[in-house]
Amino acid sequence: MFGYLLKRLISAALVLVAVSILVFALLNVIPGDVAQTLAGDSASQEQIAAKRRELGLDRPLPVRYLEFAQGVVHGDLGKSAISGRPVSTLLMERFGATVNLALAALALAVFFGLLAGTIAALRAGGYVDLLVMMFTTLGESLPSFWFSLLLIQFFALHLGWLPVLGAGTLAHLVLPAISLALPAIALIARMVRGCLLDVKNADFVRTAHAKGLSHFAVWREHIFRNAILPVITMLGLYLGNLLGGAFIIETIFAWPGLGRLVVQAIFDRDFPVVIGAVLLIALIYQVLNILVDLAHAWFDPRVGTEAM
Amino acid sequence: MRTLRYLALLALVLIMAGCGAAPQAATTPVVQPTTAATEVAAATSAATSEATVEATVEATTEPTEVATEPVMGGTVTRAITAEPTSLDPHAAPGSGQNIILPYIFETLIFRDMDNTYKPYLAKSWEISEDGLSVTFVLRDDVIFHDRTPLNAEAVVFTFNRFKDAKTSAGEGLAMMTGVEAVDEYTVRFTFSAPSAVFFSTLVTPYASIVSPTAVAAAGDAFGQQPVGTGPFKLAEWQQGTAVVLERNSDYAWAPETISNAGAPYIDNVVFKVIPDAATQLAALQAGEVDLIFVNSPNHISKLKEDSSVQMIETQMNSMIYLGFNLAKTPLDDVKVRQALSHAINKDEIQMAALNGMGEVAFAPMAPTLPGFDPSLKDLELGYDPAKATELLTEAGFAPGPDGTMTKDDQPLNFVLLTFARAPNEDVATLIQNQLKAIGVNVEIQQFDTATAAKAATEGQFHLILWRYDRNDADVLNVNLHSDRIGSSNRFGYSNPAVDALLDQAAQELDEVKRAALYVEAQKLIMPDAPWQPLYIPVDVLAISKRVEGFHLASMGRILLQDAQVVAP
Repeated sequence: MFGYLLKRLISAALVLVAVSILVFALLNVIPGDVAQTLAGDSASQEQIAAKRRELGLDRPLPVRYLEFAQGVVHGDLGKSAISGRPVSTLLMERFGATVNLALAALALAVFFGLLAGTIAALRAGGYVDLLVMMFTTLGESLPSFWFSLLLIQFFALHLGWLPVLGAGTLAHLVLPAISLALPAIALIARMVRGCLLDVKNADFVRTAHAKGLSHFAVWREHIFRNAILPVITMLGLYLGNLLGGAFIIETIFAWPGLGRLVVQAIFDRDFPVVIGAVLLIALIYQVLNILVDLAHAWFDPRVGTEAM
Repeated sequence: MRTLRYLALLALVLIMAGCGAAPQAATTPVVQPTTAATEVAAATSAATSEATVEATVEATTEPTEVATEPVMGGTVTRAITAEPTSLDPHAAPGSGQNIILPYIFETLIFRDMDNTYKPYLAKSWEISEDGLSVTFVLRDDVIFHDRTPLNAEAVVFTFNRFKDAKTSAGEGLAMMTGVEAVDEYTVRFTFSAPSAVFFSTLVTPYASIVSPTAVAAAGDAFGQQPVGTGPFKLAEWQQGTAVVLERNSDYAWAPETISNAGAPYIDNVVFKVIPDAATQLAALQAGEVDLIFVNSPNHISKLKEDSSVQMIETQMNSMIYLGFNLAKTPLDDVKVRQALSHAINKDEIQMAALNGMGEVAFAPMAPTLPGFDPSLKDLELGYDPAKATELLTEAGFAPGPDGTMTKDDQPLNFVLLTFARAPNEDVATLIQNQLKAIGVNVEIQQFDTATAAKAATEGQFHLILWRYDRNDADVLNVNLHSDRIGSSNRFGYSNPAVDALLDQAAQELDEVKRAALYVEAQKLIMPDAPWQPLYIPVDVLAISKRVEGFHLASMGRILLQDAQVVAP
């Protein structure tokens, strides 16, 4: 177990190094840089070049990368080229709001997704099943920004129950969390239903029934436990997605999350912020991947950690 | 491109959502003016009130006195699209920042709606005979938020810091050779040559006077802890969400255009960061913000039905134009540029871009800037496709096999560069169609602002759909003087006679004479056709009727010292 974790952590670190090199190189390929943003619209090429020298952007790429990597090893992600504030501070200011929103959306998605999927599977072929399937098709195909605006129109403007935008209280969390969770609820419901139905017809389930186990025990111990594995994998990816920032939802609800910070930084060509944020997101994915694998092992003892 | 597509979709969604939504009257606060005597006043000049088509406020040149006891307290909330990165006036200019700075900071002088300069922190000023020195006498009753007194030393400190920052906002100080304290409240600026643009630089928020003690104490963090002399001071900056200002209770030095010389009546001004225009609209209707700027025609028509909101059309010192790159053949031929100019139907563009609001531009100078003259309309290269074809034929072009105008086997294929911002895509497409009609092919290249700016500076275009925002007539020097080729003169335009007039205007400190020089320069520029002026963008201010007594000032500023919140 310990050896396995160590192996996974080492590979995660290597992935982070690779990601940082890739992003560093990519950012230097896209046209325009922060010197242009800072020097202003009417600056001459000489002024821009002077600004670039001032910021150290004229030095070779490997030199800048090594300097950056050295900082990261010492826990220093550098400073924003635009505001001069430490990147770690900027990321932390936003990360809390992102985590709140992501966890709220995840909770909604898991609860309603599992509920709807299980009910549909239990009543497969019936009216309830049909209804759930119709809902999932709708939930997956509705564009989230459109759905968000509808939610605002109805719950914030027409009924006046909830605030239009902003963060801080539980009431602020409701609409963006629903908007973010909707496609995931649909996806999870569909997946849970499919997996449950697959497993339901498996040989070992028939055996379990033949053993004389109660209907409930068969579902809980045999069907559900086996059907949940692909759902967990999907949830890990989904949570990574949410924590990486949900730019569109954040923009619509003026939610002070990571996504907006990163997109603004990309437009400003504020590279230290972009790289810091990408590294953070990559780290989150690595951690989630490890957690998902551990969860697999917990749900399904056959998935031994030694074998992985 | 992606964001642009989302914006377009959002606009569509709003129309659809609007169809299904029930009336909002149930949740929007109903405004009950407390007294009839409390009149809303807007300090606007006659010139701008003409442009104020939808204005429901009483536009007067002098603000109306508030007869009754003012309503104290309350908060005015304004939506801003982008969060400022810094509130240091001398940091690199960015959006959001210049909206908030004038509430926290003040400048030596300000510019009234009629483009004249008025005293602010300076009581008076004097220009020497040769125009090489300007002496300001400061008010002696002003203190910064940190209680440091405002004196000559603070002004000297500010301008040295501003000049050393070398930001694009500080270009107007190029001729300034020094600034010195003559006595406690007198400051003298010296120049290597008379500088007209110095005055228009002084009125920008970037020339705000900062507290030297606060700068020394805060160091690099001054942008997060700004200290000025303004009617409001920073209370809290909730990163990513809002900037909260509170009343400066020491304040007692408002300029004459403000009735209330003392501290503001309202407690707080809050700037909420709301990136999405549709959300801004919803927030206004839900009463979560009081003040937004709208420019989407759909949003405007939606707000017109809302009786709790008043709308005022405001013009910025801005222009949208189609520029030509003279460094690329055959655009070095004036006949080709004139032909392209004549092929442009500006009325059609105004309809598409502004839904008929605002106005079409004809001269290089925006109507709100000195040096604008209605008589220049006679020189406009107006819509005349037959003339366009004739000019192209004169320049040696003839229709090729596919109908494209061709000369020496070179068909007219142009790259049109523009940046992603509504309604540029629509306008670019219209231009493409209009030029197609005279046999000119246009390929549109639309990029995000940073990418487009780089391509523009490097001259990677034939045609450029661009915009200027500048509060001074020197916009012509910046864009069309041959000294600026390779930087802000993206067109490669060079005319020695124009250069001479622009140089002269830059050193002319008499505003009337200076304006006349700019009119002369435009008379030479317009037939040369380095760019075709298209239209003047409009922003519509939508403000909740619970806020009364605000003033509109030049450069789109909204002053709140007289403002009162008359409904909860």
